[in-house]
Amino acid sequence: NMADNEINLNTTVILERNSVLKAVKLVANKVIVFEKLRFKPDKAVGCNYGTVFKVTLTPQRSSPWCKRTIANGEMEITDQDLDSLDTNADDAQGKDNRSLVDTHGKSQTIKRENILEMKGEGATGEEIVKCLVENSSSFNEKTSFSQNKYLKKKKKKYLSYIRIQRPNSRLICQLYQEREPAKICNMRMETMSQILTAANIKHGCNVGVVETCSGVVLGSVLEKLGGKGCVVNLHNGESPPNLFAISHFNFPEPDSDKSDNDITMDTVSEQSNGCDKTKGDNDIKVSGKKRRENRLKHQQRAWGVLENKLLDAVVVVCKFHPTPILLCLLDLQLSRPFVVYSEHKEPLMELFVRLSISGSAINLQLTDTLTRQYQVLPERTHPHVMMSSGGGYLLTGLKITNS
Amino acid sequence: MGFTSFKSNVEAGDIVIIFMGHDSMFPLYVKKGEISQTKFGAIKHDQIINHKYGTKFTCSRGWVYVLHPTPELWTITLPHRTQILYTADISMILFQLDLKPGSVVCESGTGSGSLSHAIIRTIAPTGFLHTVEFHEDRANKASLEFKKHGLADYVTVYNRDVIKLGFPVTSVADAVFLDIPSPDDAISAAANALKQSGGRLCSFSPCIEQVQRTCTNLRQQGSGFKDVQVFELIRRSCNVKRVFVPMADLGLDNDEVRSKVVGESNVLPSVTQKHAFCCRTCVLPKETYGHTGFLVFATYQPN
Ligand SMILES: C[S@@+](CC[C@H](N)C(=O)[O-])C[C@H]1O[C@@H](n2cnc3c(N)ncnc32)[C@H](O)[C@@H]1O
Repeated sequence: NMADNEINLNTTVILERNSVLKAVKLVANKVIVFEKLRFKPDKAVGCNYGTVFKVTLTPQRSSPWCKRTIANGEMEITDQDLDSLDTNADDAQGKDNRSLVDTHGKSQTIKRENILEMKGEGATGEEIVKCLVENSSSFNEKTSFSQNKYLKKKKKKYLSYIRIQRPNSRLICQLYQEREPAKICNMRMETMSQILTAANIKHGCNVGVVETCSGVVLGSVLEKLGGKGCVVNLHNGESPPNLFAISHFNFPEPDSDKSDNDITMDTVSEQSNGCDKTKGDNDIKVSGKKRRENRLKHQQRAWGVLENKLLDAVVVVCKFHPTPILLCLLDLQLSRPFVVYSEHKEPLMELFVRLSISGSAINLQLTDTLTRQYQVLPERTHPHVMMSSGGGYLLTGLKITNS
Repeated sequence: MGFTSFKSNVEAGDIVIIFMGHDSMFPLYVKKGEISQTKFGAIKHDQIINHKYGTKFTCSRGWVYVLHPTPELWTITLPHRTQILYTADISMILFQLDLKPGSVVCESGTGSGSLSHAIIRTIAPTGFLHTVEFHEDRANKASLEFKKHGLADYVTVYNRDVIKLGFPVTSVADAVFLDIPSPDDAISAAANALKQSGGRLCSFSPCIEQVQRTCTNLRQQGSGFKDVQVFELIRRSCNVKRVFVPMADLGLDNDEVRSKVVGESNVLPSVTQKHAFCCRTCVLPKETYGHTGFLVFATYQPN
């Protein structure tokens, strides 16, 4: 049971440094480059997820044409509390700062070049921070509060703490939302969460998914099926879509070999619907012939689900105009939900009208959600200054008989 | 039954949702021989039994649909015994608590069971919900409801005070959820319930003072909690409508006016309309939920 929580090689983990996330597959001896740090993952193996490591700084090349080999940082377990390094919180405490002299950075005599030099000589993060403090003419004049803040800020920058977390739908969604929102159609977490509930995704259900979100939606649906059920992934065009994020979830791999037997949505329109692949129960690592057989089995199952109209939910989260896609897929069972996401309102408005006229769906709702995050600190509680100004729209409804 | 699995036909003993319109739905326990009155006339249960979910039935004054129950439909039709959580918050809670089949969850208070139904749907059949409610009658009613909904295998309701006595289980939960007036007093109870290998916590509070106290306690040295985040969600639902925007009478027959308004190329559709410009738009309701509550999330990871 405890071993479940251990970091292993050949699995994908989420790395975090200063609130920046990255998904990385750990491979023995293979150097990871992340947020200006270079290190081998081997020391993390066997540690628990959530462990914080200190990575020693890497001397950086002082100029692009200098070809000095770059040394790797070393990983070391620490019990540093990352929250205590959080400097994002503002400190507008209504402090009396009338005597503060704005030094425009002149109070620091250590320059960028000096720091690079120190790094080149293998100085540790602690040494750099100590040197910065000693050479700041204003440090001693600061209140202990701002001294603390200064230290935190410098520590965060030069002491390189990373945390290794176990990937899940929340972290993968957050990672894409923050780093590559365009790759998930600018969909946000709260929208993802509503897709899963509106589609009533649960253990063992059959879900039709059309997505152009790098596999984040597909992966999240698979995660919530808990290894039973069937996901029919329909895609546009000949080649399978980019589903890179699926690999972050560490699902057992039934069919990573995507070479043949892809059925696309084009061929689909003539025949009803097409499918690409499914994953379901008892997914285990397979290879070679077995893998192809499995893949075929999965595909047949997916076709079966479609042809026998056994879908329990349809989820469309893509860059394409959703109307034709949803109308093609509306063959799901009666009284079952569908969810359509679009970055823009107008395509969904059209779909809304089409569906209400057709009489094939009820309980139609077109919604959007604003999320406000709050800084909550003594005497300093307020909404975050910057917020996302909108993250697309959802159309949800229930399929009913259209007679 | 129902909330945790799918079936295609209505059977006696099922809970179904009767849909009469967008804002007009109610739950119905189907019983042989029974008749229920609605504003559209009587529904004979025998008429529904064995029919497919999603079927339309004609009553004397209108028609209704018989829908398969889902936690989301239950949330908008359930009998209120307390304030309840709604789907936008519920969705975020399930997602941020990393719930999936197999998760073990501790919740307090049970209230009207709105969130509980959604949790059970997501963690069944291998997970379990321990839900604590100190109001005896509410605890009993919730327990009965779970039984009637076929959920008894996935949940236990405990009638106790979570602040005084803590959760009934120790070190087994993947997630803890609090919706009580003083969640700040239940932080150690939550920590005790959570697995030593870590888990997630969420606390829902309508008022900011509760949130402040909760965050302070979560950040206390040695609490084991990290990554405290506070969110508020506002979900708006809009109506797609055709609207007519009247055109002012500027006297477009006059050449000078006409040349100003119409220009050379690129004639805007609005300009050629004589009396009104017509388009489809999203009409927002006059009033909407501007605030439900704050959601505090944290990760539990004792050193
Ligand atoms: C607002 S309701 C919860 C609603 C619930 N989340 C839902 O969605 O239906 C709060 C409930 O917590 C219960 N409660 C308050 N303090 C409690 C305590 N210390 N221990 C157990 N239950 C408590 C109340 O009796 C009430 O039923």
